[in-house]
Amino acid sequence: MTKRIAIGFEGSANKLGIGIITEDGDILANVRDTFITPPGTGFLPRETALHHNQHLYRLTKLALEEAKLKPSDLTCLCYTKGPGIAMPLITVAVFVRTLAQMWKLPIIAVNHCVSHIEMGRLVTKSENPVVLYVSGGNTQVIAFAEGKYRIFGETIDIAVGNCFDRFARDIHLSNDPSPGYNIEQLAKKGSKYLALPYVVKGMDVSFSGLLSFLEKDLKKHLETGEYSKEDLCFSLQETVFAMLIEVTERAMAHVGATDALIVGGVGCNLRLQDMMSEMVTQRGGRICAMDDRYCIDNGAMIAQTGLLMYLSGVPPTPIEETIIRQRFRTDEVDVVWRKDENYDMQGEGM
Amino acid sequence: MSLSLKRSPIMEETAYPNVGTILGQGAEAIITVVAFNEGIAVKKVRPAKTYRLPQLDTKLRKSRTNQEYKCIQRAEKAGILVPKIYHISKPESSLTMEFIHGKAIRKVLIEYQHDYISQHPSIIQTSKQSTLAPQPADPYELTPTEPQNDEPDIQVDDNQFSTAQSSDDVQHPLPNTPPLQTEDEDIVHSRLVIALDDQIKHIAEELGTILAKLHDANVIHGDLTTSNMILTPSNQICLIDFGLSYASADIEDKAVDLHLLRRACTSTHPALLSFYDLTLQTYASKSVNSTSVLKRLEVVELRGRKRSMAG
Ligand SMILES: Nc1ncnc2c1ncn2[C@@H]1O[C@H](COP(=O)(O)OP(=O)(O)O)[C@@H](O)[C@H]1O
Ligand SMILES: [Mg+2]
Repeated sequence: MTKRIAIGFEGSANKLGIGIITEDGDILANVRDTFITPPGTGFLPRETALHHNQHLYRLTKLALEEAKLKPSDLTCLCYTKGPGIAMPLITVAVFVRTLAQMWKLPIIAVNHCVSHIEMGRLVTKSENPVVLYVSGGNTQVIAFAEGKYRIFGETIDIAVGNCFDRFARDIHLSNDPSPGYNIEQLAKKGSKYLALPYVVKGMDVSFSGLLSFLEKDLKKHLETGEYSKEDLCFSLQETVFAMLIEVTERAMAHVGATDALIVGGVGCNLRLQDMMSEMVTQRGGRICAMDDRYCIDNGAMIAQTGLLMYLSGVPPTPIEETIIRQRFRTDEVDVVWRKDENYDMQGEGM
Repeated sequence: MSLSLKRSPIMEETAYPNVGTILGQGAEAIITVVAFNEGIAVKKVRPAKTYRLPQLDTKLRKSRTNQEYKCIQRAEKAGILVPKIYHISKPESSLTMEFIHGKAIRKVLIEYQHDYISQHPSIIQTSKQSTLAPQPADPYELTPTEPQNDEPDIQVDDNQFSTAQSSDDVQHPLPNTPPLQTEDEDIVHSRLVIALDDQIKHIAEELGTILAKLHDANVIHGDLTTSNMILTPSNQICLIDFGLSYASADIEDKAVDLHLLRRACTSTHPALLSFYDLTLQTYASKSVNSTSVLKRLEVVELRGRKRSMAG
């Protein structure tokens, strides 16, 4: 039997990604185009949708060329149903609907967050890690139990990436390649720690108080020179990451997991990885190394998850159900492709 | 449906642990059994976390040990069963407290569920089937197993992209005719739903009563997971782990506290959601402020659902 191959389309935020993957997990193509806006600005829904619209056709062609495939070699089309921003999501969904009808292929609607996790599991071969999902719009601590990726903790207000992006805008950092990357570079040069509100509630975190605290005295700090931009980035990172590592450790203790996986764009931050690795090693576990293939939004992860679903017997999404959902939660998806349903969680407690 | 389980939720073995036994290595603290006044006690030490900045680490460990000490005492005054504190060491960030015999509610619930499933193995099968239930046949026959026919590719003309809707459109899959977006579907936490027996119901009611008392005394627990509640052999609930606790009369703080309990229940005991429901129901009937707290709880939960998740 020939290998089954899926193509995945991701456009839930400012990245448009198209990837092609085989049932063995070989990534045949994974192309991306990021919509980058000028410093001090964020990306707007309409412009982002236009960006995706402009590049969908070119990237699809490119992905097929890279993979050396014809549409007829494909088994299914996978697209991000959500969560994300409506207009860019719809742009991609409409394109996929059209392709499905031209190419006569089934469609699989995929959850974006679950895809980060599945790609992480594929690339790192980690069976059952606790997942810290940190991106522009999401901050969640996730573990698999009873047939779903369950959210053990999340942000009570804004996502960590959102907090970083907003602060980057406040201090006019470039959005190229990403605001978070530029914060990380500045933070490396900072050393003076400004104590910021540290808000952990159980396994939940909160960043909005911290951000407004930073913004309140920002001008004063910079004008008096008491704290430099570098110091503030450093303090921001140290505080926010300590909170994230703490809740991840709580979840690991709670479910009895030894491995941790960081996914999502903020996962590229080396300081976050170092802190996670230190915590996990002290618990006798292992941190799954970061990799662009599952940290940064991309099409291959959507293809991988869609293919897993398809092969495990999840029915293709009928075309009138190929909708998008801005707030499609991680724990809504029945993870039927995992054999271990995990009804017997281990963990702390007598 | 009420089940008669032969086994009591409390383990039969009543032996006390030996001195030196590590009871728990949670996220924050190491809990060991120590000798104390001819008996035993529990020592909770918060070791330094080297992953975070030393100044942040020191501050957190100090303040949490302090808060835990204060809030346990406040809770005790409010008539809640908590471990007695024997000693606090600030330099070491440690507390020495009464050893509570019993079993974590988390374990009680997991074992209850385990027993239930082994007595009703068919319910797992049913829950799986409903997940993979075949959907209505694909109206556009886009399945790949379908033999290729010579039908020409669907032509996409400008007309088909128009937003004008006719009843005819329903028959033709136009790229923009089917609805493109829906929102706020209810989350099905588990297709597996397990009924509570009287003993578990009693625990939920007990818990609701305790939380009402705690909040009425303006103590926020801050980490309401089922790991932090011990069921004693006399079927009482002892609350532990006040490391994230603080004093507050704010209804927002109380609502978030309950929200955390809900989160802990949906993630750890998804098939036993009625446990949380009953706890909340009891809380509502027992707490003096419950109307405003529960109203705020709705707001807190809605806020979570409305949050943008893009990126
Ligand atoms: N007073 C006590 N008596 C008996 N067991 C305890 C006591 N305190 C803690 N434990 C056990 O140790 C575990 C971890 O303690 P906890 O105070 O919750 O620390 P952490 O903040 O690390 O979660 C608990 O889940 C419980 O099993
Ligand atoms: Mg605890």
